[in-house]
Parts: sequence; C-alpha cells; structure tokens
Amino acid sequence: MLTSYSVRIITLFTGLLLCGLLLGNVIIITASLSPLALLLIGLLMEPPAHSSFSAGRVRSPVWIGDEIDISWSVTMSRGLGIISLFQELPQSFTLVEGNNLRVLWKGWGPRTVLLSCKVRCAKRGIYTLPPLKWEARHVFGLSQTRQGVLGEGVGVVVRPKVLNLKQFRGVPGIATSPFPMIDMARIGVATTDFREIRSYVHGDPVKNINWKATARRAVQSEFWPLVNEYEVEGKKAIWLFLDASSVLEIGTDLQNAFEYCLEAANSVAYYFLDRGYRLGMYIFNDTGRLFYPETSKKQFLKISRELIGLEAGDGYDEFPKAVERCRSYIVGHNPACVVITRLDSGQGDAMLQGVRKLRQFRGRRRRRLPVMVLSVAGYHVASRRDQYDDNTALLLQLETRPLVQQLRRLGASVLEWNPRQEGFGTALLRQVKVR
Amino acid sequence: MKRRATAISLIELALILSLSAAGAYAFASSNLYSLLQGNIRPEYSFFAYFMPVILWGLLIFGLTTIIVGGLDAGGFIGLVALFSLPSILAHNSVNWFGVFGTEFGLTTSLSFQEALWLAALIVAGYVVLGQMRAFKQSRQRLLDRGADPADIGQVTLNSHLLFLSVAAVALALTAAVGLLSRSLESLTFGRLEHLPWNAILLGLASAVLLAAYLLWLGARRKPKGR
Repeated sequence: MLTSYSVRIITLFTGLLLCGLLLGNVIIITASLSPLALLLIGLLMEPPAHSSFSAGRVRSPVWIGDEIDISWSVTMSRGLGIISLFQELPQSFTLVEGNNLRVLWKGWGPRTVLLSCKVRCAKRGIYTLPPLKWEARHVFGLSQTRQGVLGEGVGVVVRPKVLNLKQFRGVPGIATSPFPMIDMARIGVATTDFREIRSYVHGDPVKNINWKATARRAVQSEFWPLVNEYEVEGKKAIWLFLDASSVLEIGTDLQNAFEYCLEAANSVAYYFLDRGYRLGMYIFNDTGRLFYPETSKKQFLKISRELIGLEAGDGYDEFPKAVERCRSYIVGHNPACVVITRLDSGQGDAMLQGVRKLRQFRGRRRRRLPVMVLSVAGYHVASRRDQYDDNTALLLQLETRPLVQQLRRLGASVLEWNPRQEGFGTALLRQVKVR
Repeated sequence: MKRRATAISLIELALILSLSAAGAYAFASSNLYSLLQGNIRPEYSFFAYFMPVILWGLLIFGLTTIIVGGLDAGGFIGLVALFSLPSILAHNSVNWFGVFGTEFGLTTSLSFQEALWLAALIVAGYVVLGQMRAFKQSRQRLLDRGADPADIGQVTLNSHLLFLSVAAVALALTAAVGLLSRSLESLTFGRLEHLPWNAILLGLASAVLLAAYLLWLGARRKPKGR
C-alpha cells in the first residue's frame, strides 16, 4: 500500500503533466516524468522481511536487583531498507548494558541482526517481557512499513530480597531480646509435617527410610539409604504483622518505605522459616490477609508469592483490629511478634493500642514482651534535594521518640531501619548484644 | 558522524546553490528581466541595479529556510520555479497570451535542452530536498528513541547514497525521454500530420488496452504467497 509521500509524488506528477498539456509545453510534461521515474524505481525495492529468529533463554525467578540477559537473533532474507528491532521492557526494568532498540541497514543480501541487552529488575512483581517487535521500513518511505512481533511473551518473577543469613550465625551469649533466635527446640515428638529428605545416619528409625527415593538413587550406583525427616513439635512460633498502608508509599515508585517493608518481611520470613520456626503472618491496612502458622519452605514460598503481588491499601489505623483478629493464634501459639511498619506516619496511637492488646494476651507476666516493632524511616527514603530535607527527616525521626519510648515502656523492642544508610542485616545486627 | 552530517549538508548546499544559480540565470535570460529593467522609472533605478542582489537573496532564502531552519523546501523551490517560469513558458506550443488578445510574448535565450534540464532540476531538487529533510527527521526520531548513533549513521549514509543514485538515474531517464521525444517529434511529425484523427485516437486507445491486458496477465501470474 502506498504512503502519503507516494501520493504527494503522484500528485506532483499529475499536476505538472496537466499544466504541461494545458500550456502545450513539452518541457513541463517531460519534467513531470522525473518524480514518476523516481517513484517507479523506488517501488521496485521492497522493504525487508524476516525469515527466521531465535531467542536466548530468560532467567526466572530472580531477586530484586538481579540482572537478566535478553538476546535475539533475527535473519532478514528479502528486501532492502531499514530494519528496527525493539524489545519493550516493563516499567520497573532498567537497561544496564547494550540497547533494547536496534536500527540497521539491510542491503541486497540476507542479514542476521543481533539484539542483546542486560536489564536490572528494580521492583518486585510478576512481569511479562513482551515479544520482540520488528519493523521494516521502505528506504524512501514509499510503501507502508512492515511490522510484527517475534516469539511470545516471557514471564519474569521478581522476588523481594532476602537477608544474608551468614552474618548471624555463631554469635554466642545471652541475647538481650526475648526473641527465640538460638533456643530452637531440637528434640521433640515428630509430627507429620515433612521437612526434608537426607542421607541415613546410624540411629535413624527404619520406618523413616524413603525406599522409593533410595531405589531411584541406587540406579546411579549409590546404595546409601535416604530417610524422611519430619518437623518436631514444640518449636517456637513467630507472628509477622505487615503494614500495607498506602501511607508507607513515600519515596519513588521503585524505592519507597512500602517496598523496604516488604523486603524486611520477606527477609524475616525466610530467616525464621529456614531455621525451622513456625511462622504465621497477617497483612493489615489493606483487605487483611492471614497466613496460618506453618513451618517449611512451602510457607516461605506462599508468603513470598503474596508479597510479590502485594499492593498498598487505603487503611491506616487497623493494627488493633489486626491483633484482635489474630487473637486465637497468638494465645494458642504464644509467638514472638514482629510488626513491620513506619512509625513516623503519624499513626502512633493505633500502634500503641495494638501493642497494649498484645500485652494483654500475654497475661500478667512481668517478663519482657516478645514484640519487635521494625520501623522503616519513611522520610529518609524520600528524595532529598538539600540539607533542609535532611534535617526535616531528622526532625521527624526525633518526633517519633516519645512513641518509641512508650512502646519500649510497654515492653516491646523497637528497631529503626534507615534503608538509605544500612542494609536490613546490618540494622538487625545492631540488636545483637552479648551480656 | 560529524563528517557524514557535514557531507549531507554540503550536498544540500550544492543543490540549493545550483538551483538558485539556475533560477537566476533563467530569469536573467528571459525577456521579462530586460522588460523590467527597461520599464523602471529613473527614480527607482536602484531596483534594476540591485536586481542581481535580489537574485542572491534567493540563495540566502534557501539556505536559511532549508539548512538553518530545517523547513520544507516548498517555499524555496516555489521561488526558483517562479523565476524560471518565463524561460520555461517561452517554449509553449499554445500561445495563451495571443488567445486572450494581447501581443505580449515570452522569449528566452535558453535552448530547449537547457530549459529541459532546468525544469527537470527544479522538480528533482524539490523531491531530493524533501526526502533529505525526511531522512533528517527520521534520524532525529531514532536518536530520540535511544538507538545507537553508529547504527543510525550507517542507515543515514546508505539511505542517502541510494536515494541520490536513484534520483540521478530518474533525472537521466527524464532527460533521455525529453531528448528522445524531441528527436521523435521531428521524425514522426511529418507522417502523423497525414494520418486521420480517428486512426490516431483508435491507435492510442488500443495501445492503452493492450498495456492494461499485459499488466493484468502479469498480476495473475504472481504467486499467491507474496
């Protein structure tokens, strides 16, 4: 199909021809042939068309901040003109290396075009990398551009970061916090909760041998039996309260307090579940989602999947209600509670009420309350233009001091985390004190 | 990259220069120029004196609008065509001035071949300058989209080379057709004069029908997949 430019040339030819005929001027009639000849020669050249393509494998799932390689190889066999290849990227993906747009010249012969780039996933979520878009333009723009897509969309799951656990291993001493960090139960009655499969050691009951798995491995000439290991009873439980209020969305789209809260929640869940704790979670200030306390990696995957797609809600003072809703689990399991929120949002009263309720559930014991309030410093996350913004953030942090003191008076420990200054692991390390 | 841009600007400059010179020369060759100079009153004689300066203005207009301003070449080509028109119209077969009862007639010192080259150059210049502007805009669009400048440089260079070659071929074809038609006219005019009008009309209609039939046959034989 012809373009408007071709129509313009045809109009020029027709106009000149008519003028020439009207005036009886052979010169004008002949000159009118010049654009016509150009149009006809130009139309003999067809725009390129693709004949084959191959795509590199895209890694998924990945963690926030990971880099993904995208590569395409497209062969254009016929035609002459300009080829454009464009790999559209989801909004929160940033280009690190290479280019996701290639514009190339294709001569008479076939040409293979390579498009490769490296992108960084800056925000958690489930994304789809759209198929590669290609365009083949006529060199003079005389005919319509050919375009299409190659391949299919590829799903990429970007998970929130998890804590670097190596930093916390082997710190001996008595913890100042009542958190059950090291005192995990090792002996107990085995439950039916499957934990892992491992090699047999002397003393393991014969009934625990997994004969099918052993036989499968025996085919590979390894005759040592494998046994099923089950979770034992009497493990400590952790209860995670995650604030999902839109008040937390302070900062940029990619880096805001809410994203850091999710990162912290994911890290906490991974940390405790990896150590065999029973972990439950309640997400408040949105519709309110409860995760029944469970152990094993399955629970982590369940929580992690929820965190990947979590959006902030409109609520802002629902913490006391959340505590009330989780009452039966808190009373039944007597867990250590981790509340992940932002204390400088001006909703301190709701937090105090919630912690008071948690204290009530514990009864009249005078021991320290096993509640940790993890506060992400929201105004430190927000973009800073000058020193006044820095000081404002500091003032807001100081403004939360009375609230922090009240929480501590109630027996809760408060950990303030400024993601701009330190990683989550470093912030947690500040809590580790040896008597 | 800069060298390529400079080369493209130089081509544009050369084209504008040659078109301005051709327009000015064509105007100066026509009897209209002499007429204007002769009819100017003594108190406005500075106008006749500065006529070449006005023609130089054509060049400056072309440079400022096309190269500096990046505007469409339509205005400049229109002016060049206006200045060249008296010389081109001097070769008219139909005397329209005579039809309207005036005794005025356009004459020029340019030969048919010279006038033909001039007209073909103006038309080709219009198309080439327009296309070069389209290439520039396309290049800028691609740069704005974040394409690799080296890739764009390659595309721009090849596009310009191909287009200029095609334009040169088209211009040569036009000139060849013009010159051949002139020779053919002198060869066949004597014979055609003796032919009756109905035979000429029937012959033309048959030729057109035959061409259409051949085109239709060609279109039918094309494979369906393409």
